[in-house]
Amino acid sequence: MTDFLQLLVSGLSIGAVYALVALGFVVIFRATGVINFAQGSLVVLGAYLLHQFAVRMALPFPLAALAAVLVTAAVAMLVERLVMRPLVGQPLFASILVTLGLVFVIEQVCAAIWGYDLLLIGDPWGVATVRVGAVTVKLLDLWSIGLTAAVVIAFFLLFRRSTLGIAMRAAASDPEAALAHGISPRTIHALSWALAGGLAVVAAMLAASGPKGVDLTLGLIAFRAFPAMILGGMDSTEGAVVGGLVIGLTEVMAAGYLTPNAPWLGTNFHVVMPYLLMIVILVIRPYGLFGTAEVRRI
Amino acid sequence: MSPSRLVSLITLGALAAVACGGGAAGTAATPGVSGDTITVGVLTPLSDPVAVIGRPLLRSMQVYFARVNAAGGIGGRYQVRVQEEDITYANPSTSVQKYQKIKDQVALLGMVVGTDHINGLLPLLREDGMVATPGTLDAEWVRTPNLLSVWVPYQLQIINGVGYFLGQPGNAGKTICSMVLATGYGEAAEEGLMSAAASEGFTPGPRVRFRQDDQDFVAPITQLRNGNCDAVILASLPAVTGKVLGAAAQLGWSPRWIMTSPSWHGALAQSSLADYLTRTAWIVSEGPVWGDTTDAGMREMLAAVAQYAPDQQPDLYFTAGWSVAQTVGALLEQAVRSGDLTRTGILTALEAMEPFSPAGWGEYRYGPIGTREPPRANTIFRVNPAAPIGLEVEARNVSVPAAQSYQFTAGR
Amino acid sequence: MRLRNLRLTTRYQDDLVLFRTRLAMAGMAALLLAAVTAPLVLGDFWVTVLIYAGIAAVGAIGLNILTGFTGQISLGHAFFLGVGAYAAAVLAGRWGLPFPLWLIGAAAMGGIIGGLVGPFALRLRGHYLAIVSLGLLFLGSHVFEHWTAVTGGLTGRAISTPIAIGPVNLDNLAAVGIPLNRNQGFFYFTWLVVGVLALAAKNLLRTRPGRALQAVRDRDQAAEVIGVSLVHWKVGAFVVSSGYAACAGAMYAAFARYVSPLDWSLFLSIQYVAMIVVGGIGSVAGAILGALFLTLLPRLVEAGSGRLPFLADAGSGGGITVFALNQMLFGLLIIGFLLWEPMGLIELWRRLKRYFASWPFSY
Repeated sequence: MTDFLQLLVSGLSIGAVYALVALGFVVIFRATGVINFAQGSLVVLGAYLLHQFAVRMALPFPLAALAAVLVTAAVAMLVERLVMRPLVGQPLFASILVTLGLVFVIEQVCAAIWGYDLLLIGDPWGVATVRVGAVTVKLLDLWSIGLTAAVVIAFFLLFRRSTLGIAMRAAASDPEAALAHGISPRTIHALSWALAGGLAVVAAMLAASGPKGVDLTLGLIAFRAFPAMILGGMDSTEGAVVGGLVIGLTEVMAAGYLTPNAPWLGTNFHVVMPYLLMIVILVIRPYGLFGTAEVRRI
Repeated sequence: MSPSRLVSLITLGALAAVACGGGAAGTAATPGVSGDTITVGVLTPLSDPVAVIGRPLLRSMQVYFARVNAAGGIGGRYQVRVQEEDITYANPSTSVQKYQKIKDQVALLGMVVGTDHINGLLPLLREDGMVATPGTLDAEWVRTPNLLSVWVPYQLQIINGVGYFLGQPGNAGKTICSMVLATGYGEAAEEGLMSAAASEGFTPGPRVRFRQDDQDFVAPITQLRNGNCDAVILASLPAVTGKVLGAAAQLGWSPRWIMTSPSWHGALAQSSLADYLTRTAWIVSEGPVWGDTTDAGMREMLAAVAQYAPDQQPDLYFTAGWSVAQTVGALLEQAVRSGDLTRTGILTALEAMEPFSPAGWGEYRYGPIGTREPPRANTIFRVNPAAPIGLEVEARNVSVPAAQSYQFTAGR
Repeated sequence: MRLRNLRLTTRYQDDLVLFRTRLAMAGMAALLLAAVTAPLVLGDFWVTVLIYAGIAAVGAIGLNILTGFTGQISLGHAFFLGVGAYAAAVLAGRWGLPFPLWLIGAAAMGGIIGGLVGPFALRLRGHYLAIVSLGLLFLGSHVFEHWTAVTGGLTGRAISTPIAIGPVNLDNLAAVGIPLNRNQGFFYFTWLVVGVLALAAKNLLRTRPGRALQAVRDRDQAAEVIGVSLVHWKVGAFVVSSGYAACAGAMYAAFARYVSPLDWSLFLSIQYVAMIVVGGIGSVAGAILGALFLTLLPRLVEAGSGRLPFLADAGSGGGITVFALNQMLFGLLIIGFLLWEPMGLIELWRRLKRYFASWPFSY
């Protein structure tokens, strides 16, 4: 029983990180209709910036985190302005590929600046743990779940209650009508990329914490979060969160219960299990659990 | 200038550049030897997470041969040039491709990093009659033709580590498990555990495998903890070791971690895991510790570092590379002595080579394939954050009977 | 006013022919001559690079059929290459099939598995299809890594697939009196296969099937309405494209003689997509051009690396490595072409032709 609870907490914690990455995907997709395959690279950039501010420049962590969020958001907005804006209206294929190209550029620039060694980000929760009954909960887990919950609430307030959020939803649903109301799609696009950049840094804070550190392989986390985004529906923020948690739990539970008992599945079946789950769900519900069905006209 | 014109110009420029590039290295008969210069090839990762091992290995070879060249060269005549090629550790095919690229320009390969990379190259080495030095310690390489093997094999590392653990007072009968990377390197470590189990007569506990890009280790650690493991052998890489041990530390589980040499990186001793590592970690390796000036070989190395690479930080892998460079130098000396620097000549030199021990390291017996013997004694290190590479000696010259009686079979 | 060199298309048949002008035929002849003499003139290293380029060209042509002509985005191309490589290894190794049979068998295997994947495209579109194909790639990698008997696990395996017809064996041409080494013989074999498969693709695409595929790409619902069966054509595109990829994979295995499951990575899939984008989407010649460009460029950069000042002296630290530069260039190329020349290199070539054809009225 304690094992189960332990795995549950761990699954929720890692699911929270996936949820943050998936949220980053969804924010950009809702506003611009593009999937940002480079979200993982933004996470990597955010983590390296955290290292730079919190370790190399020895700023207090909250300040370093804020600085990293601002810089990453700025880089994301720059990317949107230089690379994505000229491609508005181009076929889907172009935007997918251009964000893939960005992955290479961003990661190699990071490696050029910070090198290839594993670097630590100087987070305050490290390997500290707290005992809750029989279960050992990492401070990291508490922060993951807490931060993600805070982000989700903030997003809810942003999208449902604030004018800006409503403007973003309007621009996503009908750009021409939104333009007629004076909502500039350009601002919306830039803002959505900035938000995604910020989310990437929050995810980085958790994913690269303690001894895990940051190196170029951190970007792979985005590929783990894809099933989360698809599962939840590409344009649904609640879906991203639910999807992230589901995927995190699936992965950890599969690793904990499936792999030891069914070795024929392979040693890291828990990594591909989310994709299997995603494919199964897509076949049943092609737009994900919470996504809106696309209406296509001839 | 419009972008498409720019693209065309760049393409033309690149094509022009290659037209002026390239140059033969060596004659047809003695590839890699041109005039009085011998070229030694090095295939090592320089741009991926394993570069933390690859770069110092390369650097130490460069520094060693700089020193040899300054002292007159091999046999007092030949200067050595190191030609490095960047490979991707995670993809063995990159070695095959780089090998094809440089094979006509090098006399031998002074270092190839990665068990799976050596596997890929073996058929080609045989075809071309080239000698290569594996930068990996699988027991299979001891008696494989075309390989100039170095260091104590992983299998023996594990046997010695396990034997030492079981030999500690009160440890008899404890459960030993394994947590290894799912690659040829990890398999070698697991083989060591099974071999130790067979000769010491115990049944190992749960054996878990993981991958370089895994993010979460709670599940495998829980599995090991539930198996009541008292000691766990770990075959990992520096970038992942922190994550694995971090998970264990957070779950509050402290077995004795017995890790192979490539699992360690100095930065771990400076991380938030330092305390946990000091209590639980042993690293099985060999050779002198950086800065240990009682060792003559280490003194020479430090002098060379001060002269040719003053910015080099203390590094376990630099010391390891230094020993390889000495071995390669010894092979080249043998070939020069017999006056034959062709591929066949170098192969023959390998078969005629005397037992050689790099300064401060164990003796490796080369010569005819059937009788090659690696050193069989390891040094076990424990963690001390205050030491230069974060390690200090726990026990020297550990060589348990099972390690001494280990049989090496003829390789492929 | 008649322009001298401008051959305007006035008949439907003109749109379908392979060579519109004498000049085009002469150009092809010149290319053939270059291909025949190249391995005799270039050094071994460049011959191997061109062999890899040819193998990539086969895969790129296949992907172009799927993505360029049918509009189905697939990031799983590398998986089918792997299928082809391992099928070839099993057919030639364990079952001992002789040369053309193992290659055809491997391509068929790829086609069959492509046919199983195809139905997903019926249910999913756009982004969803892209990500599912990504999932397929990961699942496929998982299978490859754990099916050790066939693939050798993460360590990889040596492959022995001899290309021999009768006494003529590519591994030992000297035995039948042909003075070519293995690489040169393989060059001719590879580019012969490229020629045959490119012609086949071109024939497929300039006739009715090609028009059907393009209809599916442009407006699949409307195509269904006018009688272009989506099931038939979407799945068919997958089958053909996977068959091409498997053929490329089998050729790669035959040449490199060592493969590992890590070869069939997401990076390889992205490289193929980049090849068709850089070369020219929707054009067989573009696919070949893209394959050549993206295979040659990193090698050219490496060859010229001594002359670039900001590159690191490897081992010591400062500057960036050649590998990093190549990766960065790769990313920048993709972005650059998409931003400024979305129709690819082939479009640059076409502009050049148009400039001269309509000179002096080239505005």
